Amino acid sequence: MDKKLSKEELVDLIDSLNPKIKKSLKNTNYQDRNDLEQEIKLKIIESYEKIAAIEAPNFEEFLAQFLTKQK
Amino acid sequence: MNPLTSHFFSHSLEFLQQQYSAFFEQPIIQVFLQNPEHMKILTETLDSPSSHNICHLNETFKIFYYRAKVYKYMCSLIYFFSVDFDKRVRKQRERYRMVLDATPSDAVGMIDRVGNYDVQLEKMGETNDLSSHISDEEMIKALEKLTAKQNLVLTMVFSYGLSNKEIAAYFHESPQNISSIRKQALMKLRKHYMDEVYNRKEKSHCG
Repeated sequence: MDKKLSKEELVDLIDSLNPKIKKSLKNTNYQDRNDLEQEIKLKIIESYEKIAAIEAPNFEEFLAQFLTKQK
Repeated sequence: MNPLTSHFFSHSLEFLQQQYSAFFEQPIIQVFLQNPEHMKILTETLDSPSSHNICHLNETFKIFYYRAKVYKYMCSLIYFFSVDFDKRVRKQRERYRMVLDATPSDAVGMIDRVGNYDVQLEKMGETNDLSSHISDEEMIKALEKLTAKQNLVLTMVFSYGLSNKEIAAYFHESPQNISSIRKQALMKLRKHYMDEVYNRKEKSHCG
């Protein structure tokens, strides 16, 4: 399995985040909600590069980080 | 391999959970280990800490952590973007209000048309209450059941897009009261709709 997100997975991810998006629509007037929904999805797709650049530590790195922080 | 972590892999899970309880209390670790598959990988690695097993654990955890970070990132993105968007739209409205008496170079100003009798417009103005926007018969019946005030509040909310605060100023009441009237009205509509439409449909399906 590839660590980085593929573009297909990004679309799946947007689908799975749909309830969250719907909830955030309440932040605006109901006349603007469809616009907002579209813009959010666009924004997520635009931020693909940024998402792909997120770095995560592996198990050992995380453990080592945690242990050094505790000392 | 890191000397700090090599020590970790030479113990059993029970011992580790005692010794490194703070580590196992980390939210990311807790959620990671909730998945039985991840738990299995960890116990296998502790049973035989070969480099292959450790590598596998590392990779699985890395993917998991990455996903968690992406989700977190997206959730904040969605939230803050929606707040920003609302601010932007409001500002736009504030700046570019609809101007009635400015004259576009080639047409008559809008204000000249306001006073004129326009059959189409008059019709719309006359019946701007909610039932004129609805084609569903049951819904119209449900609307008739509402009290006059409930109907008026819903009309103001949905036809004119007024906020609770504005409606409250109109009635000289508190916004909380308007909110509860609106809630009750919607509940009444929903109840009527559920009773009449869904139950009847179910009955007709059952024979």
